[in-house]
Amino acid sequence: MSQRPLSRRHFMKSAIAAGTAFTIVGSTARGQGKALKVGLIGCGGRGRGALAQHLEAARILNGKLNLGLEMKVAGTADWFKERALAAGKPYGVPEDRCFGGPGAGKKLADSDVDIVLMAEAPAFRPPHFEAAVKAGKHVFFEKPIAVDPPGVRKVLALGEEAAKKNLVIVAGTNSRHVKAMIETQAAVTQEKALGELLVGRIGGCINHMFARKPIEPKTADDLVRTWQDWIELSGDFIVEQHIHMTDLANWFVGRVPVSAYAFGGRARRKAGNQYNFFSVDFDYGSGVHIHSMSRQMDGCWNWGGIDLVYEKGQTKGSDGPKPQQSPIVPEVPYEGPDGKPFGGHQQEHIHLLYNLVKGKPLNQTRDVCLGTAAAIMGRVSAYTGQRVEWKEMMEDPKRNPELYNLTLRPTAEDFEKGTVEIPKENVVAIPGTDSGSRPRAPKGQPKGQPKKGKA
Amino acid sequence: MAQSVVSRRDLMKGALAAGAAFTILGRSAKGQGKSFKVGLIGCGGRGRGALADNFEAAKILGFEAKCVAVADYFKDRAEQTGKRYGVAPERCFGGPKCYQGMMESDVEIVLMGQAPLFRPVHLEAAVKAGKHCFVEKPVAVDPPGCRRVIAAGEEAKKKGVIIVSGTERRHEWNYRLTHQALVVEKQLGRLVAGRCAFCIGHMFHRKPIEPKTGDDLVRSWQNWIALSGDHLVEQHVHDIDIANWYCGVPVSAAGFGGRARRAAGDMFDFFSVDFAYPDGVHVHSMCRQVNGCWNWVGNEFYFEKGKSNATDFPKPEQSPIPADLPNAKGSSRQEQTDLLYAVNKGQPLDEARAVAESSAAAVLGRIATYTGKLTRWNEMMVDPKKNPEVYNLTLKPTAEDFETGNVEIPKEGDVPIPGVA
Repeated sequence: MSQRPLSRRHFMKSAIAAGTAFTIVGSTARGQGKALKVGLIGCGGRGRGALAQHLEAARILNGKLNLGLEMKVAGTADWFKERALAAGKPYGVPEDRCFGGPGAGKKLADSDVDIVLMAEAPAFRPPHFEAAVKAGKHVFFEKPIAVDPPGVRKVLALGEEAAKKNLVIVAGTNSRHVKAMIETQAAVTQEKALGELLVGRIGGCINHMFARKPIEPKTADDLVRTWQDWIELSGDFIVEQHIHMTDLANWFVGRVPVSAYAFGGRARRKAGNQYNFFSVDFDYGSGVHIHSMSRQMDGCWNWGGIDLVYEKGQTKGSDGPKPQQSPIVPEVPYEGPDGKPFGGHQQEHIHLLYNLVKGKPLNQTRDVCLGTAAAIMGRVSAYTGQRVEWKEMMEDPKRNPELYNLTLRPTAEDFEKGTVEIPKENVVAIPGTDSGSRPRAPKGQPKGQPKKGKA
Repeated sequence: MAQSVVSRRDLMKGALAAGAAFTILGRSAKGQGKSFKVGLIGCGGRGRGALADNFEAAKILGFEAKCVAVADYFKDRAEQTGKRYGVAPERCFGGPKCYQGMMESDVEIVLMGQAPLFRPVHLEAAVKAGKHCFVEKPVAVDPPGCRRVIAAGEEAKKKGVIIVSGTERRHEWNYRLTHQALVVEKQLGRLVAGRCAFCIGHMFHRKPIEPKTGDDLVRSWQNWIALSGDHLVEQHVHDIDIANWYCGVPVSAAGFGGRARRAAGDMFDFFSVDFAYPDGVHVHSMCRQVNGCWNWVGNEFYFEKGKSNATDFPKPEQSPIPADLPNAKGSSRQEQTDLLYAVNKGQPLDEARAVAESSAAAVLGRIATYTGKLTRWNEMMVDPKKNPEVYNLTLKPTAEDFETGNVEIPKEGDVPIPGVA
């Protein structure tokens, strides 16, 4: 790490030393040779994909802007050593830089890489991100960035630290990198091209995902291998997957939800302990409600997207209107030679490297934290049947300590220490209680409504 | 029946004969000595409540209500209720065909508080017999049932038979005035979306019912999809009715729901449905019957220039409420007041279509939730060929099965699972 950390400060120093280096890099950098070492934590499909897209991003930027980036894959890490080795091999990563086991991620973050890509199971991201920020690395991390409220707050705080260190942090909430989305958001949210937002819907309803038969895990390895099926590792699919949409909602509404009121259940899963569907009423305050729908089940109606209704029209997020002042930096490439957009997965790495090289601050930690927290809020509400407030979950430690401190176990630390208790398969949260009379009407219930209907 | 049915035509004749009778009734109708013969089908709590409300309403209007016949699936229940109102024992009808005796009697107004499954059949018979009706919500449990009620409503209109439904909020004055101001007069501009909810604690049985006979099912009807339509239809129809009143009928529904804690019957205990109405308007419908959860009952509609809970904007420029209609203070009393008021005036009042469409919207949401499919109004209610399975979906046992004694007992706890394995 002490060798060539390309922190912004470091870069600025060499830039200053080189006089007009920035311009040179920007225009005729060929042969200027900006060497960057990248490492990958989490060598599954998404991780390997991110690494390939990262390297492709450098090629795209070199081709368009002559940045002269020389990328080197300098390390891989995975819970399973053989996966780290397999991912490192195509890039000629020496075996001793392919880390395995519970401490692998931190070892990689502490190695001499400049950029860390993180695509491990979400439960592990807070400690890995911590190691990376402490070590001054630039980061791409997949979404979500945590599975519980303390995890989110930890990453939020680290994001502040990263900002102070001028680290570039890019999150895998890839819609935020799509040009049409960026432009539409600027038009409707910042310029209010359609007037005030009134109401919206978001959908992430797709087919069944992941294991179809009981996993019957015996060891921590078994859990990590099937992490997408366990709420402790994934956060449940509303957090793991649907965060794309909760993040979009936050982005377009321009704030975080005040509360969530949710319904959900497990209809057909046979593996793990996740739900199959969530339907959440997010109250964003000022009368703006977003109905969030997510499902992973075969043979059902599928819909993915965002649908927002404004005073003067509607948008699906990427279909305009165009902003008067586009936030798009003209020289940043968004389309390939065929004129087609690269897509969010590719674009997020272009943004990372471009901003890194240009020494521009880009830190998406806060955004992805808030999107993750919104999704967690929906999950908790569906599991309990309670209306969950942002304040009690994220801000005020005293209001609802149980929720504020809610920690899914086994935690990342349990995995590191080897104190993993295996969750019970097919045992899921059931909202409400069996006993008790009708609870009193909650605070905030609209007045003047019938208390109960005729049955 | 031929004796003294107060058909609209009869009443109009009388009104014409009496000259200014309408005005007289409106102003100082008390003590005119008008008397109505009322009958009740379904002598459970709601049915008896409706009868009591009807008597109250008669008092408010200065009429005399007389309960002259009662009917219930269980004869002893009919007799119990009948006794309280001095109904002759031979006019306390029991059994699956109990309604038939009522239709042959000289009852002028039939109140219906039986299980929803039976309502289409009983309503049809009542219209055929020329009786005015009050029918509780929902009016059916499946698409064919909803269409039968719409058809019966058309027939009723032709005959001058009045039908009032138990979607009580449409009778409550604040609801009516707010509807007039916001939907008719559009005082807050265009309606863009809504939410509606009936989320309350657990209802009905807590232990398995283990029914053996049709009687067991009827006795515990609130727990069975085939008899109640599930709680989305049976209870949440109140809110969906308001959504329809504000937005039209839904184009389609996509639903999420399940059975979290019920131990009895075969119903879900929560639903969350996205109703798409015309012009891109979506209404998020939520209902739950589970203890220990956050509860909310009500509506909220979003307009260009503000929002409303459907009661908080009672400021129309023109009131839709007739000047001489008394405010009965209380929606279940008001609906009976409106019924007697209309019957007395011979004013057409047909709520069959509205309540049938609200019931159908709820059924649409239920089907969407049970199957996981996006379900369209057109395929369920309009076009028999598009999706015959949905269009013809008939819950069994049917009302006719109960009459013929061919009741197959549903499996307890056997609930629909959306999607495919």
